[in-house]
This record gives sequence, structure tokens and C-alpha cells, in this order.
Amino acid sequence: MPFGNTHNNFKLNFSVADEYPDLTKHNNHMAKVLTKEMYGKLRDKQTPTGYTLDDVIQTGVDNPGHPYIMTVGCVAGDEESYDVFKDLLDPVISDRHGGYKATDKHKTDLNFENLKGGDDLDPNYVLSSRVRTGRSIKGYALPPHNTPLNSLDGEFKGKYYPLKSMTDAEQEQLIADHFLFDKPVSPLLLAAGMARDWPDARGIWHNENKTFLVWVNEEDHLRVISMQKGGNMKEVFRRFCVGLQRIEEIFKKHNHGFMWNEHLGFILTCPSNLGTGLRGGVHVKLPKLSTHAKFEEILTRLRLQKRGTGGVDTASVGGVFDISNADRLGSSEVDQVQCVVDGVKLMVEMEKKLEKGESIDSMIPAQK
Amino acid sequence: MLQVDAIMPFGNTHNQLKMNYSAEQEYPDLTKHNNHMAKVLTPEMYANLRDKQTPSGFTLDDVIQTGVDNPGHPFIMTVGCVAGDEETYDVFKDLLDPVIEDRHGGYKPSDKHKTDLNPDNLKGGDDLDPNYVLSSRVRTGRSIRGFCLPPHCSRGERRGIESLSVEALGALGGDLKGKYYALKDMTDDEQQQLIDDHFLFDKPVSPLLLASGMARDWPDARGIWHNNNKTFLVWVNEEDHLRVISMQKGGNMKEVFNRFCTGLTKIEELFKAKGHEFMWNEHLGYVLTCPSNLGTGLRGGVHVKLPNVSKHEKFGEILKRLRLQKRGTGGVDTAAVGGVFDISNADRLGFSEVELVQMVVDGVKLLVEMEKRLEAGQSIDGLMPEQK
Repeated sequence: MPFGNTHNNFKLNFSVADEYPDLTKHNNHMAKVLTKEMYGKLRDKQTPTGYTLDDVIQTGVDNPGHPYIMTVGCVAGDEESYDVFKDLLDPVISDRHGGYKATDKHKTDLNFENLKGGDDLDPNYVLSSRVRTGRSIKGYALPPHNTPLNSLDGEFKGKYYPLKSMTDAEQEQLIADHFLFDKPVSPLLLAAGMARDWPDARGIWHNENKTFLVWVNEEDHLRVISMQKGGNMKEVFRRFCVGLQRIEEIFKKHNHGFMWNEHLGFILTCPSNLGTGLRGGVHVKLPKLSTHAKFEEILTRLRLQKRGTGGVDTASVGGVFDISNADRLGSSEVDQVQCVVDGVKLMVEMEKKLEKGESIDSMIPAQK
Repeated sequence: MLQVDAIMPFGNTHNQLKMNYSAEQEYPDLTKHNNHMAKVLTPEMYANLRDKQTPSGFTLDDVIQTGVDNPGHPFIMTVGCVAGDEETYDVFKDLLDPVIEDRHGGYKPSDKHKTDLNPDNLKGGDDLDPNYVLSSRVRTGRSIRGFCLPPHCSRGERRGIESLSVEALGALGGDLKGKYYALKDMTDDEQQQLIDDHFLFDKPVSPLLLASGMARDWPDARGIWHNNNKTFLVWVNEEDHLRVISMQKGGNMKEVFNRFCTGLTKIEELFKAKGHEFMWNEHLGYVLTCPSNLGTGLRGGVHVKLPNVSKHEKFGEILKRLRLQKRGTGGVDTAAVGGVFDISNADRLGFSEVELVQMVVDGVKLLVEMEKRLEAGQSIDGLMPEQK
């Protein structure tokens, strides 16, 4: 894991050929894009905070590829990374986000009333619903964690649990609630430097109802999560939007906005999360559909992805899948959650058909 | 306070905005820590050193990150800091001198270290009983002056070290003639053979090492060189620029040490002929990445069968008096298997190479005698050594 080394002052004494990483066995977005020429052009640049090209790419150099997913292989160290290293990051973004161009504008829409339906997903199939996103804080470092969040009230009234001073009982409860996050073990994350000083200044805030949750200083400054059992995605999304907006107001009062611009939307650490940073999904029972020959094709057309119920990099258990939106950038929050709502509704209908031994051929959707 | 844009969680230890935060805000939380760095680094010291860097740009945060991220080891007192270049030991002496003193038995900033790689000065060592002593080995590290150390070196530097080393080692002849195997080009057969020979090293998994940054860009510019006889081995760009190892089955430590010294001296000559020296000074001896390896960088040891002695209540005490330490046969952090222990010198700095290997030779000879006594049902009370 890299620390205090990608800023080595002597490296510019070595030629580009000597310093260019060996990417011959690599398969990630960074490795596909970063030519020796590009490396030569960018290697002496830094952002105002001192973040270098080597910092951006270290995780991708150290992690040649994931067996099942195409990883990004680069990270931002600050907002300016996306500008100073645009020669690298623009093509990575385009490749990762379905051809999103350097001139494209991203639309933010957190008005939950624009979501159609979503309150009637069959709870016999849809076990739980969840929407998460990330936010990066402009301005000073976050003041001692809890101040802004502690001023939330009503349905959002809650409490902050710093990782380093959690009691055993609190820890047990957070694990039982599926809220607790721990030091990452993924080499993709560790190689980027995000786990330094763990568990200093990391923590979990959640409301008393246990339906709204904020992770502080994990992979992003904030990860905001709205979740509940059953299939009422409309309610989950309403709470998500309202809660996010309340948090943003509070932060603005303290003179901290969220990092956002009209091209990239919300700026987050990993280029894969730019735009909305939103992953909205359900845990849904699809034992028959998931073994259908066209399952993958259906998901692709619906612009959805599947994961196991342990999240990314896990397998599904008992035919229960985590189904969520595949896109992040180039469509709005409402658009993406709408894809989930409409797509899951369709898949549950397909599941019911297959249960009855009927064909689903006429239900195969067009590419969204 | 200045209004500045905040840093992502991924920003690294050379973050230029950190100086806008007070020393108190930046000082790491070491309350749950137990390593040499945490014992020494006060908030005041942190404040004095935090704006310094070595000429290559290594900062205090770089030095200490591994110790911040690894609060402690259940069985051993870890160092918790590393050097990124030769100058680290000077620029950050306020931290590293007390760490060195604590780790190396009271070694003072004014002390001088003696280097002695003359194998003729070793007495005995050719007659350790092979019924008990299964194998003998001596290793050390060397750093090439002018390059940054593994926590900090760039890919270009690392590749430079590799190509210099390959050239130098390629010029060795006689019983030292051998071949280099780059980790990234190794065939499956070569890999299997190196594993069978117990030569292969792999990407470290220890968080102590990983947190220091030494595994970046793995396996680029890493490799293993060994002689045809498989008794002399060099690791390139693992935890140090070079790790040099002499080993063989049985108890002839004298021969192992002869080869070690001869090989090392030849390698040093070859590097010098190309205009490169090893990092060395008269205070710290050979300069290596981890402060625990300063001085000789030498660990000389044997795998020895001590099923009876090892269960004796005074075993720990005996080792201490002999200035030896025990490990399992998998190396550091492993357990002994079948009563076979790895016994080696505990010291690195303040004693010469000859002195350290002498302790191993004399100490193991005594331990084997004790083992034989206990096997015969006799007491070893009369054999208890004095504190060396």
C-alpha cells in the first residue's frame, strides 16, 4: 500500500520509459487509457494540494484486475484531480460511463415527487429497498464529526458512533442492524491510501428509526444511505432526498458545500461514482429468473446490475439478489431510481410467470 | 483560517494542505498503540518535525505511517517507523535516535559501530552436531547509495537498482556463478523450483510492511538471484534494495559465514567498480529500511532440534543470556514445528558481524549440549551461561 512515496522528488531524473508502469498484465480502465506518451505529459503535474499522477494511478498499478469486474484503477485525491489529470480521467470516465463526453452536462434531480410508482413492489419477493450515495465536502475538513448531523430532527433525529470509541454492545447492535463498516480489506481500496490512520475520525451516524444512515470518512467523506424492509422504494427515495437536502443545508450554514459541477455532477473519490453517486436497489427473490438464459440480457437492457446480498464481490444466496442501477453519470437520481422501480417490477412479474411454468419471451424489454 | 478545498480520503502523506491544520489536529492518535515510534513521538516532537523533508521529499508522516496504521503486534514490539532514504536517519534523528536507542539496547547517538566481515576471525563453527542442527543460514541487507529505499523509491529507481544488481551479480564467478529470475517473467517451472528450494519470496502480506509502501508496483523490478550450487542467494527490491543470504543444510556455520563474507565483499567491489557504494556510516553501520536492521543487518541462525530444552522453564532466560532469539521454522511470526526452532542472534547494531555469528555458534553449541543432557535425564543447572 503506498504511503509517502509517490511524491519522490528524484523520479523526474529518470526517463519516462524508466518510470512508466508495466501494465502489460493489467485489465482496468486506467491501464486501457494510460499510454507512455500520456504518462510522459502528465507525470510532472500536481494539483494544488500536491496530488500527483502516480497518486492517481497507484491503485491501478498495484491491482492488475478483478476476475469478474472491470475496475477503474485510478482515484481522485481532491476536486482538482479531475481537472489537472483530465487527459487521463476524461477517457476513463467516457469508457466507464457509457460514452459520456468531456462536453456533456450532468443533470441532478433530487425531487422525489418526480418518481412514478415505486410504492407497490411485491413484498413477497422484494425483501428490502435501499438507496445510497456519496458526498464530498468542500471547504475545511469536517468539524468534529457529529455537529452538523446532530442538528437533524424529526424522522432524522439520531446519534453518531465513532469507530474508535464504540462500546462492544454498540458494535454488536450495529452489526446486527447491518450498519457497521470496518477497515476495508479490498486491495483496490487499500492501495489508494484510504485506510490510513484507521479508525481515526471514522464513524457511523444513524437515525433512531434505523432507516437513515451516514458513514463518515470511509471511501468518501460521507456515504448517505436510506433503507427499510419491504418494497416501498418510493418511501425510501423520499427519505433519501429529504435527508440529503437537510444535510446539505446544514453544511452550507457552516460554509461547506458539497463538491459538484455541471459536467461531473457530485464529485466523489472513485470516478465510477461520479454524477449521482447513487446506487439504488433491492434484495429480491428471483430463483427462477436468475437461472433463465436471458437473465443477463434482461438486466443489461433494463440498465440494472446484480450483486450478491453481501454487496459487491459476493455471491447470491438462496436465489436472492441485490438488483440496482448500473449507471451513475449522465442520468439523474430520479431517472436511475425509476429504472430500478420499473425494472424490478417487471422482473417480479417474470418470476411469477416462470413459477407458473409460463414463458417470458413476450416480456423481454427493449434496451432502455 | 484559510478557506481551502478539502482532500479526499485518498490523499497521501505529502498532502500540502496539512500544514494549514495545527500540529494538534494532525498528530496521530497513538493511545492504543504499542510500538517504538508510539513510545517516542510526543505531540511536541511531531510539531517540530512535521514540516521537514529529506532532499527526496520523505516526510515525517511517511516515516511513521506504518506505526500509525499498525498499533502493535501481539508478541513482538514492532518499530513502527521506516526510512525512505539515507538522509531520513539524519533529518528525523530527533525521532529515530531514541527509537534506535530503545530498540538496540541503549545505543547512543555518539556510539560507533564496528564492521567486521573477515570470516577468519570466527572461532569454530564447523562442528555443530548435524543430528540436531538441520541447517545454517546468514542473511543481511544492503542499500545502494544515491537511491531511495523501498518505501519511497520510484519505479525508475527500483528498476535502476535491479539492473545494476543484475549486472554486478552476473560478474560473479567460481562457486558463486549463478542466474537471475525476475519475479514478473518467471515460468511456472522456475517458480515451483524456487518454492521447493525455499528461495522464493512473494508479495508481502504483513500489514507492517504493506503500510510502509514497499509493495507498490509489485512485482515490477523484483527478483531472485542464486548461484548454481543454491547456497548463495540475493533478493532484489524486497524489503531492502538487496538481501544477501548464504545457507546450507547441516551445522557448518563457518562455511556458511565464509561464503557470506566472500560473496558480500565481491558484490561490493563490483558495485564500486560501477561507481556505486553501499549506504554505510560509522555511527549506524549499514543503513537499511527498518531501524531494527541497522548496523550489521545480520541475522545468522540455525534450524535446530531442541524438543527438551525448549520446554525447560529457563529456556527464555537462557536465550536472553546468550543474546539469541527463537522463531518458528517459517521465519518471523511463525510457530515451531516438531520441536525444531530457528535460533539466531538478537542484536544487529553495536556488535560486528563476526561477533554476532560467534554468539550463534557458541550459543547453539551450548544449547545442543543441554539438549543431550536433558535427553539423558540429567540436569542442565551446571551449564547455565552468564549474561553475554
